[in-house]
Amino acid sequence: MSEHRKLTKLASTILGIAWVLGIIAAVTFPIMVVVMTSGMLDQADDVTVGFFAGFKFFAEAATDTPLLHGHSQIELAMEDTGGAAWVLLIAEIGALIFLYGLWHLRKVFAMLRAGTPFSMEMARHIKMVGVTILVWQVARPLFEYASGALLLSGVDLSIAGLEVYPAFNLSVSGIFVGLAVIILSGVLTEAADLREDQSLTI
Amino acid sequence: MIKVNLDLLLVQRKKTLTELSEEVGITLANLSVLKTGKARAIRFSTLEALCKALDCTPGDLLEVA
Repeated sequence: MSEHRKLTKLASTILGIAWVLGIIAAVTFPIMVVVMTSGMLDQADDVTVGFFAGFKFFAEAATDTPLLHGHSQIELAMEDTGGAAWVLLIAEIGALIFLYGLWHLRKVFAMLRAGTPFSMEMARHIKMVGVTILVWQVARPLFEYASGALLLSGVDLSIAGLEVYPAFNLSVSGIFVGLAVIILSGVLTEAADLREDQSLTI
Repeated sequence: MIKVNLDLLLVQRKKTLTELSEEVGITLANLSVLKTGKARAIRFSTLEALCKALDCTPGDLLEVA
């Protein structure tokens, strides 16, 4: 078996595992939302939720110039599980977008393994992978901002010298990757057309 | 649009597609593509082989529809 075929097989296996994990996540999130909102959890049970937040750290409460500032993934232990349930609902939408993109990516690898790389169907699947990347790159910061705003509105973080706020972290390079994949699908459409021309030349 | 008169020439020469396929060395599938008008292009070598087998000219085989 050639190196290329081995690599394709390995990638297909990894994507298969990611697909199963994605399905588990997509099924688990709504169940957790139901558990959280139905009062099945004890009041003493905390739910830890991670989200993207901006922060400013002031050496003295009176000063306006932050000593340290930036954005980071932080985790909050939520006593109010209602807020965490909303975050999980947002995560469910993310999981569904992920599964949609993964489904098309798995098709791409399945067609590679079947030895039909230059076809209109392949170009369509690659285009949908690019569109999903693009949608995800725009949706992810919005989801993180919404999650952060939801969580921070429900907790009291009044620590002297520290400001925490929901952060919007748009990845420009991620958007370019999505656009590049869509352009690649256009190139593949041309290749598929040439292939069809060749196969219909007698 | 170019029309391929292969079916008409086959009837006139009393030949089947299978016989023609064996004679010119083109697969039955490719000849079928040519006969049904799905072909996008034809090589000069294919055209020459078909014309020899069917004893005709390219003008007999192809026409502008």
